[in-house]
Amino acid sequence: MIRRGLAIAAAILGVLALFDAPASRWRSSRRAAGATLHTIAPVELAEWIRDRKPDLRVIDLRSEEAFEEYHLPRAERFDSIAAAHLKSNETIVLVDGAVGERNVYVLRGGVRAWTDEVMNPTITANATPAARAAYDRASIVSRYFGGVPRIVDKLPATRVNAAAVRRRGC
Amino acid sequence: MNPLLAAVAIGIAFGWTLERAGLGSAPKLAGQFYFTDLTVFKVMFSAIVTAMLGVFWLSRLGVLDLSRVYVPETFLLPQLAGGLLFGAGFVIAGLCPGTSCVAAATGRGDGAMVMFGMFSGVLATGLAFAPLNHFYESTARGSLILPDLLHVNYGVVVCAIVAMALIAFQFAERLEKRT
Amino acid sequence: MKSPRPYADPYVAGTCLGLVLLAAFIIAGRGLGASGAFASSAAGLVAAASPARAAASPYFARYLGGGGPWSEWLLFEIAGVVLGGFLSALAAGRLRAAIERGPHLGRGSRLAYAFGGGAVMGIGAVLARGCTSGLALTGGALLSAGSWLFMIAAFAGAYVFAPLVRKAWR
Repeated sequence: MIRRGLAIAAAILGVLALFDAPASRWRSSRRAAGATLHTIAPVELAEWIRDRKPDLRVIDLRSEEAFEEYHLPRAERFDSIAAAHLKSNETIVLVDGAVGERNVYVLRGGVRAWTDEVMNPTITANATPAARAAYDRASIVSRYFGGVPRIVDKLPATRVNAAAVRRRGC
Repeated sequence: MNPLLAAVAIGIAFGWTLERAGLGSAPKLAGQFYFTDLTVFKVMFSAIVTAMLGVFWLSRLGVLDLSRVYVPETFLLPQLAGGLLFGAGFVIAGLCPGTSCVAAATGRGDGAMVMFGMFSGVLATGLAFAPLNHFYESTARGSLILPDLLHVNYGVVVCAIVAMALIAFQFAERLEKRT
Repeated sequence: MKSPRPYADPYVAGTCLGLVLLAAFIIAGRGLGASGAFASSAAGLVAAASPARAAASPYFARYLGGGGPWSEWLLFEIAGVVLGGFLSALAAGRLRAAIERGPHLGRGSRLAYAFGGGAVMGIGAVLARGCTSGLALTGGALLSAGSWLFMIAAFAGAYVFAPLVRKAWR
């Protein structure tokens, strides 16, 4: 009886799994937060806009006057970028007016990585010299911003030492 | 929770469940490979299906963050060769590393000897490892998972594995009745 | 002396095992394992006898970093496995000093097979970076390609070798 119940439950949960979102959701949930930076040529961007590429946001970085004078079709401009309410699945194209290139960076791991690595750098008492050197470097800047570097007996459970598992196997 | 304390607690549940299933007894395990007792297959695949469905649905509902779970990495040739060797050793010994510990814990001298053999094998291989290192690191594919390998959705693989397991369980029941 | 209780239904036990594995993912961010405990203690033993020898082995060296080989997660988990197995057998009246074997094998031969089989498994587990617990169960549930490959190869290896050791079990 209980076997039948387990089998039915498994079958239902298995069939329902078929109605899953496309693979991109699993890929993005398995990678750490971050973004990939590219440059795009004008003609290709024009094709994206014409073809109504889904989830495309074209953000104009110039002043209000410049934007009013002329802007790309479907481009948007914000006084504060937060007002754009950018979503993680959107493709974002930044459009600038200056001649020459800007240096644009995206923080790998976002705010969570900042709090983990800058505000709360943590290390075990018997870590390797290389890890110790990285920790020392982080501690200096951590204290500058009022963070709390710590040396602990065991790293907290939620932060699995994935690097160790990767090296060692199971 | 202290991670090492959690490890002990998880281990206790693991060992308890293995013993309850009868997997602490070498003759029972060996029966798998003579088609007389397919408990190994039933337990292993019930566990895989349960955990797989749990991972899928808890991830989908946002309860489990899959990026924080370590996925064993793929090394094609070493895992193929290692698997073949492991299987041969398994049927000779009648116990695997985990079940040998359960067997030993319940008083079975053969379980303790399998543990000793395992330790010796690992020790010898580790000491003579330098010439093996190149092979060991070869054909690395990182955290390759079946959906990516087969270019299908995660949910499709989940459903397929559930279906194959349920069908296989039917076969297993019939096979056991015959022998 | 309690008479031994019958074993649990394999599908129910398997489901419970799956729930234990799931709990490990949630609590510890990793799955189960066994062979890694053997590897870590072997590394620790070699390091205690000769630190130079341990560091010289590319395999053992992996276990010497971080907190060292004796604070390996799997060692603590395996200690739990031993305790859990003991408690279950105690509660079920299945504690028994014995050398379990096939009907036509003597005790001495059985112990030789146990040692030999164990040693071969040890080599396989080193190469594959895991065993049935760490790869087949954990990697299988997480759909790791290499783990499924290992699982299929292990079953194949066992079935191919089974006729050769038939006298041990039948």
